[in-house]
Amino acid sequence: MTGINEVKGSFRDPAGRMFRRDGVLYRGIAPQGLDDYSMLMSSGLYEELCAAGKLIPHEEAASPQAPTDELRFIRPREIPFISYPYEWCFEQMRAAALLTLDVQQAALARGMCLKDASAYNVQFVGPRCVFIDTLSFARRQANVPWAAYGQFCRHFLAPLALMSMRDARLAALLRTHLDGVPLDLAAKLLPKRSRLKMGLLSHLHMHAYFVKKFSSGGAAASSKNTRTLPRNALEALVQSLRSAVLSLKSDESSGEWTDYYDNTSYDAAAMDQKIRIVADYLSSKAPAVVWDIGANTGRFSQVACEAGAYTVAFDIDHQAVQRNYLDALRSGRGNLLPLVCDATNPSPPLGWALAERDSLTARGPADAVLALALVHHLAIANNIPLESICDFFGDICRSALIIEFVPKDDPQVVRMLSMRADIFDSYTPERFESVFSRRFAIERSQRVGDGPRSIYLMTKR
Amino acid sequence: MKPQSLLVPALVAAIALLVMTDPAMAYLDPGSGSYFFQLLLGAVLGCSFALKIYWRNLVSFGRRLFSKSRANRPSEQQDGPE
Repeated sequence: MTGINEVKGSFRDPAGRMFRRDGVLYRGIAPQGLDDYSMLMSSGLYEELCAAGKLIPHEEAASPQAPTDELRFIRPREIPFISYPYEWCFEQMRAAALLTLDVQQAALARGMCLKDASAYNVQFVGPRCVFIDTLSFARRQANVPWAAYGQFCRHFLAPLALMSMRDARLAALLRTHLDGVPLDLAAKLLPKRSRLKMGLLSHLHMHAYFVKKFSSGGAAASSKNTRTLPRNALEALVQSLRSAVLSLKSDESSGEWTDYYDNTSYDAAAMDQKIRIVADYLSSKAPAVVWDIGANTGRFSQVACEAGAYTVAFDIDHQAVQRNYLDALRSGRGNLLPLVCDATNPSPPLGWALAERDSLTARGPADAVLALALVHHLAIANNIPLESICDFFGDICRSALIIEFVPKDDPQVVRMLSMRADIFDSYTPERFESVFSRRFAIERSQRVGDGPRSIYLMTKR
Repeated sequence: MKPQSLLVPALVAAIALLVMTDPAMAYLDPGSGSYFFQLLLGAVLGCSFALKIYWRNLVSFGRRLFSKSRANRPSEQQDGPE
């Protein structure tokens, strides 16, 4: 249909679908979703959740297309940057889990229930999370068990337990398991001491046993759909899940890069100068959206935020991202979203037809990209050719690139090359400039302090 | 709300797990094992909720009894010499 672009990840729920028309995001409500939507709006649940900042607000809209099977249309408020659970640190994942339980509890009190508990129903606007699936609410049929209980355990509890009790990097399992970490896999990977926690013993280990035991239907199939779970038992279940989530602590073992700013090769004066240069470059471009690649704990992301940009701060290190996230929450920095991302292996397109979850590149381009103290890690530690680095930044950047070149005589690079053969003859400032000139115009460059590093302001050709 | 008023619904809730009802229809497949386990865990949590209320009632009854007897004691002493 002309001008209509389906949002590919919204096909599973027959109650409605998302699409864009002329760049505006709409949600069409199908006949089978209309009663539940009407109840959400008339029961007071919508106002309650929106007032608490827990549900994405929307406006009702006239039909943006004709003819159509849908009966109603809403225009949800746009999320500045869509992130995915495999890009969240532990505390982001936990906040999303608690939000889902809050929303479920509020829904139960109004005679409704969440019909799914997918982590993809939660998005972050800055460091605050919000429930985005307006059509997840359904009238609760009398005493019917929660169909999404297993999904909640797979999407939230299993990854949280693994991140807390094994390693935060296990969040990457959600990349391969889009419907959450299978409970038997989580049970295998968790340490034995996880059985000492009542919440994990029941909701993960025993739950995994039942899932495996009754995977072929069998005895459970005959009882399925015939027994009841009264509301207060379901509320006790939700409360028990909340206790299980709250009992988990973040893995505090030091990250690889969290003390980066303490060990950096810059002295305080050079650091101040670097901040001034970046702030100056940013103010000359006034970007609305900035991606800070290799942001560490976000010192320069904060500079971008102060320049008025909605800033997404990516780093490979979970602890650095978590520190950045908690700091943004504490300081009320509403336009900073820290995310976990390996610049050498960013999120790919995933899911059905490779279209359910967008790649990092497809979620861009950003108005401006910061790449500070990063190029030497890509070029030397990861053997990525400068041409390829330039292409990547060309793809994710709409207008301005602020990039730091760290030459071979920099102490950090000397250290990196001390244990390996120097095969990087062409890694020179001149070649860097000549390669990047293919896709960018170099507007300005400035040395930082007395050292060999330079920061460039480039604009996309 | 009186604690006793919660006790009966909680016990009913736990027992009602064994009662037949309409089929649960959702676009999401809850999974047989997950569904069955939820019923079992719901029963346990429902019962423990009921027991918790029963225990709280018992404790508050004991406290009331104890505080009443302590409140009565000085007056008994005052009454004694008469």
